[in-house]
Amino acid sequence: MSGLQDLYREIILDHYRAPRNRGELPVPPAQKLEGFNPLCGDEVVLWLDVEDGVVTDVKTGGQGCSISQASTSMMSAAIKGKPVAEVRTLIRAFKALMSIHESKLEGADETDLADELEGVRLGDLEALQGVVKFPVRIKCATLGWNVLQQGLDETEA
Amino acid sequence: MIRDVTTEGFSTNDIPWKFEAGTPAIVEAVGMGAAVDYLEAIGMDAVREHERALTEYTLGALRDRFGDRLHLYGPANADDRGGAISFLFDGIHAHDVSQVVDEEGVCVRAGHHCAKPLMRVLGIPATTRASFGVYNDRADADALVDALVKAESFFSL
Repeated sequence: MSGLQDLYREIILDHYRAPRNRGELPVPPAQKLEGFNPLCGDEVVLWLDVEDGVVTDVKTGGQGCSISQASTSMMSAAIKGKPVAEVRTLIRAFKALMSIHESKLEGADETDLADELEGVRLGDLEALQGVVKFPVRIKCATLGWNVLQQGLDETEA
Repeated sequence: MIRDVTTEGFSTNDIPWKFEAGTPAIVEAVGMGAAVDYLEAIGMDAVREHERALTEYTLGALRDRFGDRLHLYGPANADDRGGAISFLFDGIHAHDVSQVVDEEGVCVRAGHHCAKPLMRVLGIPATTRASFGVYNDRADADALVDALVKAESFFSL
């Protein structure tokens, strides 16, 4: 079961059993955002408070597999209180961890991304690295992050 | 599909031929014929009885092993159902269960099975589903039960 131990690290199961920042925020001022994986039925709901370029508060809801819910829980803990620019860097760093390099698709220089992500501390999120060995589960791990990215884009639009 | 093609353009054939482009499904039709011959040689009554008996055996084994911890969906009596069994553990997502049993060499389907309205009525996000055919036997059912024991202990709180 070594592959499974890589996928379901203890910290992931801990976040799944006891998700952080679970709840709701009043809308407005918060934004409510939802994301779905239509094929598996997983659902992530985010409430996002952004004030003066800082994610002042975040709450999460939804249901789904341990990977999608744990990733969202860890994400919420990692971004709370952080400036939006830093959160965007974290999104890119996490997607890079999942072997998703969107800037490469946009034709940006690969070394620029490496420079930017140099020194970004993923902390507990690195526990999700094992997901890469299970390609069908990558979309579970990234669901919450895509919702977050969409939320930030809407805030700044 | 076409009636005529020139370097300047093309004209289409009449309905229904204009919608029947490419090579007809010859290989598929031959394969279908072989499958029908195979099943007829066994006899559909024997196919049905094999699936019924195996489903009955598996339902009993799942009930004995897991009791109320495992929810079984559909009629309790194998006479009233086909060869597929949908189930769900309390507190363990269907996809997480399928991931562990996959590692044990047991292939199941997990998700809403293209039946989201039914999932809503049942009040659950997804189930895991094992299906039996003529090529399965009791050893396969036992392997499923053993794999589910591992899944339950892996995710036990």
